[in-house]
Amino acid sequence: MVVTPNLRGCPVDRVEALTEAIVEMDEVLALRLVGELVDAGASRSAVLQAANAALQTVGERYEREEYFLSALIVGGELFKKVVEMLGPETRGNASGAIQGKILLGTVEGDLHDIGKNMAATTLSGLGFEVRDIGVDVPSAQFVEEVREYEPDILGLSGILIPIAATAMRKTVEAVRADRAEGGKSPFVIIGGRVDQVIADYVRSDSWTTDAMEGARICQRFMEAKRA
Amino acid sequence: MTVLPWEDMSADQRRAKRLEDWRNAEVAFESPEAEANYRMRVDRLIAAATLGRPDRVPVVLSVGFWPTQLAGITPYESMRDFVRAAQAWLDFAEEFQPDSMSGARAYLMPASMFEELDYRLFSWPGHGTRKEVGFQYNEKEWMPAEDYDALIDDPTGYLLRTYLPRTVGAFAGFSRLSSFLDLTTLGSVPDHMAGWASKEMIETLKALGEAAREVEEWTRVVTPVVTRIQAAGFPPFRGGMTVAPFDILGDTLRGVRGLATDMFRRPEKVLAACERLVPLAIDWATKSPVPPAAPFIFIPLHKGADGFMSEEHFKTIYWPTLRKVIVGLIEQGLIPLLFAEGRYDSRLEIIQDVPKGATIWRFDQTDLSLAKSTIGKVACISGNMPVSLLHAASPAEVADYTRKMIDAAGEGGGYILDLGASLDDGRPENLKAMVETAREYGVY
Repeated sequence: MVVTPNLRGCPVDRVEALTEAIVEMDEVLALRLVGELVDAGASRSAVLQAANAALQTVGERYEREEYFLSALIVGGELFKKVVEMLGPETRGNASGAIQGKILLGTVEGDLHDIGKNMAATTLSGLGFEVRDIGVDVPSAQFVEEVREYEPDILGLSGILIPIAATAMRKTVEAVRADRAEGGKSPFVIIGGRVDQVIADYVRSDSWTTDAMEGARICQRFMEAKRA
Repeated sequence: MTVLPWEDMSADQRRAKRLEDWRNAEVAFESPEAEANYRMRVDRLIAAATLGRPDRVPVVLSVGFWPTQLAGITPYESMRDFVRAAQAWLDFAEEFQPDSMSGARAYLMPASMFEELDYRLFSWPGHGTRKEVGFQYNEKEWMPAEDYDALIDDPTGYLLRTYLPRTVGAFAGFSRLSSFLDLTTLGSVPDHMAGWASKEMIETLKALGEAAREVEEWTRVVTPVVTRIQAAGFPPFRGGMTVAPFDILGDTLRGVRGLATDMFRRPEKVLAACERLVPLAIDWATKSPVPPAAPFIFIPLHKGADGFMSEEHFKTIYWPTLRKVIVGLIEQGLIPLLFAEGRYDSRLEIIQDVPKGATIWRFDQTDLSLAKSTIGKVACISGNMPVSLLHAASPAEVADYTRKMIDAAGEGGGYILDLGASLDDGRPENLKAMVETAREYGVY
């Protein structure tokens, strides 16, 4: 599904051109169009919505295997540049409605972050509020962050088996034990070098090896939660 | 029989010679039984590697820090207490009786050498990673996009004077060096040598000297213990390494994000750089300072995996220069041992375009049946026990999976059982189940 940008107060052709420029990975044109749109008085949220629409299209092309990881990375980087150009006030979701809150981090002992960062960008593009707490995160810190941020979803990333699997399991146990006393436990999804065997071991609710697929799982979880 | 000089031999003759040398390696075996086991294992591996049918499916254990972890030695200690760590590798071989395994030296490297070098590309146990965790690459755009032309014009000069001072601190002094052509004309020699008198270069020479001394001492201590693994009847497998030109760019020069961007913004530079790196990649494996202990050249494959790039990009950007490296190594009688990390299902048809019986393809998450019916027709295939099973499943599940792999890939030979990816720790009973299943179920 491609979201039609909110076109109020924008030169329509340039908004569409911006979406297309991002989809086609034309960074120079895309950033020029953002500048022109801002100068022409386009609402910042409309610009961001156009970028969101582009990222969704990139994601769909990825799912149809018309685009590959390299395009997902480049599209994500471009999306981030657009957000940076627009400044801090438009960070977050363009339409104002947050799809859900997700806490992301790479577990203790593991420093890999490419997959996690892609997941963060993809989820932001789909309207999630993402708190990324970095790499080599101890389970106790995840517990603290879950308490404070109260995410709908907890995303644990890791590549190093068995170090990451052991740390994921420890984190899931600690978060659930803590939440059992204080509040609702988030939906847990693991990503990286994982499979069903690791997911069973970790006792996560879901697993993925793909940032886009992971984002879809999160979307479906939120839809089910809202229903 | 007259022996042809090396220069006059064909690729097949050179390969045969290297395999024969490997089989007849001058080793002071610890017993006649060890010697017989060594040759039996080499014959088994040669048969599989050259698409023949051995007595049974050979088993190679490409593990990481597992042997030392099993002995209660952390990766941190492995890089400092070499003799104890090397002994753990010998014990591991004796315990699991593989036909070959990872080279112990790669997991016993001296931390002090890396410290002297101020090596920044990787973190190691106790230096950027925790003591109980292995190596991790420091992902970064070490080479900015503006440097493409410098790399393409003169790769070695670029590495020496720009890239190494950035990535290996001890090389800082080289950034000030003028052209080596200075040394070809009498009058320019003093100017050139002035570059060697800079404060940075004095520091560089001191640090490199220290690092060299560290590695010399390490070699003196480690070699006798590592040699005992061979003397006990376990042949070495990897005789050197190189990297696909696209991965040289993507892994440690431009980084994932940099290279992904380049494929859209400056594909012509990516192609030109890959072409330029072909002879260097071949040279990397063939000009090793130590003669190869085995004729297999390890080539880890990264950015060509399913999903990272389109089939079109794989065909036009990734594969052509990798193929040139493969062919270049085969010309020298070497057997490229390509390790396709991740999934390679959509690449299997394309990679079939290699000389028959002269490569080994180890797979990680690729479908082995699919591999057998494609690349398996022209090359030995290897893999791919999931590390998740070795870590978290039961021995019965591992045995069951091993039988499935042998059913999928073993028919007619040309298959070596191995792990899908390197593993630093796991359940030893699971590894034993894998090896024993191959020994019983893998008999031809």
